[in-house]
Amino acid sequence: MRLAVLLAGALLAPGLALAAGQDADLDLIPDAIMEAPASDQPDFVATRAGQFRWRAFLEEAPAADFHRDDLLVPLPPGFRANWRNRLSADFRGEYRFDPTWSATITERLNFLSAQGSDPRGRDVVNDLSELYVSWRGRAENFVDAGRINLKSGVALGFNPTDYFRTNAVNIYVSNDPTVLRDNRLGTLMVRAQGVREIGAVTLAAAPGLGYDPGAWWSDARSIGLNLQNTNYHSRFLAKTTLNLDRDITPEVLVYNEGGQTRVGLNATKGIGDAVVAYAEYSGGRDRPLAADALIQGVQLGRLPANTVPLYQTSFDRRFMSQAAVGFSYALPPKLSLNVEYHYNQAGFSQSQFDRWIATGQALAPYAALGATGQLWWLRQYAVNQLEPFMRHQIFVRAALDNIFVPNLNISGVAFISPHDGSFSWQVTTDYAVSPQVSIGALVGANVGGPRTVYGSLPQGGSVIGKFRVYF
Amino acid sequence: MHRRTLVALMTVSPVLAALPARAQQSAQEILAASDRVRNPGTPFSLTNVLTEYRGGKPGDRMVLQVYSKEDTGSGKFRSLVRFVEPPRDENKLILQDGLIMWFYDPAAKSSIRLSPQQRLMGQASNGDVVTVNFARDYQASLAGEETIADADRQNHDCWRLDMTAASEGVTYARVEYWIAKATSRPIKGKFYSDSGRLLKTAYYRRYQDVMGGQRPTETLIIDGVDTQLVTRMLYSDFAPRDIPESWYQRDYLPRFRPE
Repeated sequence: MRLAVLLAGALLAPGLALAAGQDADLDLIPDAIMEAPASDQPDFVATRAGQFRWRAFLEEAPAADFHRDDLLVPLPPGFRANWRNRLSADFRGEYRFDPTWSATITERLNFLSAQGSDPRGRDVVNDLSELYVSWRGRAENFVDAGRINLKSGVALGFNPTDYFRTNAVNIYVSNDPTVLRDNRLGTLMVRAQGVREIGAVTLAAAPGLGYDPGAWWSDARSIGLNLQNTNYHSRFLAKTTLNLDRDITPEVLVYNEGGQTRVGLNATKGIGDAVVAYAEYSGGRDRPLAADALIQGVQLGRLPANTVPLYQTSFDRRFMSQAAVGFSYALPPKLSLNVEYHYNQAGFSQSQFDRWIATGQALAPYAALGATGQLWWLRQYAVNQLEPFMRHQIFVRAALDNIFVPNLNISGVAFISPHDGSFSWQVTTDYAVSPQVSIGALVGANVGGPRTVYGSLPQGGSVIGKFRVYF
Repeated sequence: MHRRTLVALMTVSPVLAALPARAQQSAQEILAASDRVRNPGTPFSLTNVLTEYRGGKPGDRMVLQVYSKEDTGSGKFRSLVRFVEPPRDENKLILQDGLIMWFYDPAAKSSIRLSPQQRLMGQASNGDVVTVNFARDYQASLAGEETIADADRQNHDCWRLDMTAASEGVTYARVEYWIAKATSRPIKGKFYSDSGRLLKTAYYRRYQDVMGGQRPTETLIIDGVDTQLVTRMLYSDFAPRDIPESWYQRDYLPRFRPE
C-alpha cells in the first residue's frame, strides 16, 4: 500500500511540477545536504596515497565450544576446552621504493589461550603471511620474489585449482572459506607475470625445503615462518587466462608438486542478469586422501616416524579428479546466494567412512592413550588441505547486507554431506559501529547422528564473539 | 476540421507539442548530448565521496576512486572502482566491463565474479558510481517538454525522456530523465525496476568547469522506498588518464596501484 502511494506520487510528481515550476521530490532533500560545502576532500589524500600504503587492525575473539558426548571415535586427551580466546594484531603494508620496485608485507600476530591443555591455546602464533619484493616493467610485466600468496580459482567453498592453498591456513578463525582466504600463509617463490588485453600468463617456482624441526625457517625456532607447511616440496605453476570471450575468461593451469603434475581449468559464465555460473576442475595422479594424510603427517612431524597405519588404505597413485561446480544468484537489494557441488575423488566414500567409524570404535578403549589420534589426523588433514573429507559435498553460502539496520551484515555457510544428510552450518553477523570499529558474532554447529560425517565431529557447536578496531 | 483537431490535440498534449523540436533532434541525440555533458570524452579518473543522510542527518561515508575509459568498439564505459574509505574496505576493487563485473578483495587476494544484478546491491549501487553512456544502454523516446526545478530550485525548460533498457544487463529497466533544453545538462532522473517500482530519484547539481566542459560534480540520490534515505555523491579530482587496456583485466586487479 505504502509502495503504491509512493509510486503514484512519484508518477504524478512531474505533472505537478509542470504546473508549479517546483518538484515534490525536492522536499525530500535534507537541508544539511544543501548547506554542505562543495568540497569534501577525503582524509586519505594526505595519509595513504603516497609511497607507503598500509592497513592495520586489532581483533579480539573469545569463543565457547560445546562438545558431543556421544562420539563413536573418541578424541585423544586434551582436546576438550570449553573456552578459547584469540587476540590478533594484523598489519598489511606496501612500500614503493620507486615506480619500478616495491615491497609488500602481511603479518598477523595471534595471542591464543584456551582452557586446560587444549593445543589450540599455543600462546603466541606469528603468521608472516607475505613478505616479498616486486619489480614492475613498463608493459605490465611483473616479477615478485619472497613469500607470496598466489591464489587461483572462481568457486567459494572449494577451489581445486587453487594449488597453493594446502597447509596454508594456520589458525581457523571461521568455517567460512571466504574468511579463511584472508588469513593464510603465502609460499616462498619467484613469480613472473605478464598481463595483456588478450589475457595473462603467470609462472611461479617455489623451492622444496622439506622439514627440519631445528631449522630457522621451521616453526620450532623461528618467529613463525612455518615454511615446511608451504614449501615442503618444490612446486611449479604455469597458468594463463584467455580473454577470447570475456564472459568466460577460462584459466588454464599446469601444476607440479614434488614431481607430480596436475592440470586445472576454471571458468565463469553469466546467465541472465542475476546468475553467474562457475566451474573448476583439477586432475592428476594422486593417492587417496588417507594415504596422503599419513605420509604428510609423518613428514611434518604430526605423526611419529614409525607410525603404523591403523586405517587401511591404498598408497598407490592413480589419476584422480577434483571439481567444484556452482552458481551465484543475486536478489537485489539485499541477498546474494552461492550454491556449489564439490567432488574430491581422493576423499572418503561412504563405505570407507563407515570403516573409519568402525576402526575408531575398535580403538575407543585405548583413546586415553592417544590411539585414536591418527584417525582424527586424517580428518584434520582434509581441513588443512581445504578440501572435502568425503567424495561429495554440497556448499551453500548466503549473504544479506544492511539487513534490519544499516551496516548490519549477515552471512551463513553450510557444508552438507549428500552421503548421509548431516551438515555443518555457521552464521556470522557483522555490524560496523563506525568506520573504524566493528563487532560481530559467529554461531555454528555440526548437525547429524553419531555415525554421520558431521555428527561424528567432536564439536557440537560454538559461539565466537568478534570485536575489531581498524587503525 | 482536420486543422482544428490538430490544434486541439497540441494544446492538451505536451508530447505532440514537442513534435517540431523533435524533428530537429531525436530523443536519442538529446540523450547522447547529455551523456557528453556528464562524461568527459577521454579516459579519466575521479574521486567520488558518498555520504548517506538518514532523516536529514549525515551518516556513513564512503570514498571511491573511479578510473573510466570508453570501449571504442561498444561505446560503453569500462570502470575500475577502488574503495578508499572506510578503512575496512580500503583497496577493494570492482572492475566493470559491460555485463562482466569482478570484485577483488586485497585481503583475500582473490577475485569473485558478480552478476549484473549485484550492481543494485546497496543504496548507491555500483551501477551508480561507474561511468555509463545512457544513449548506449537505453532506447529513449521524447515524453514531453516540462519546466522543472533543479536541486537548487532553479527552473529549467527540459526535455522529458522516457528511456527503456536497450540491452541485457542494464542497471535499471526504465528511466525518466529530464534534460535542460538550453544546455543539454541532465537535471533529474527517476529510475525504475523491471516491475515498475521506483528505485531511485537522482538530481544532478553543482555544474563546474571540468575537463573541458561544464559537468555535474554532485548527484543526490533519493531512495525510492525509504525516502528518508538520501545519498550525496560528490565528485572531485577529475583528471585525464592514459589508462592501458590491461587495467580492465581480472588478472590486473592484484597489480593495481592507486595513482
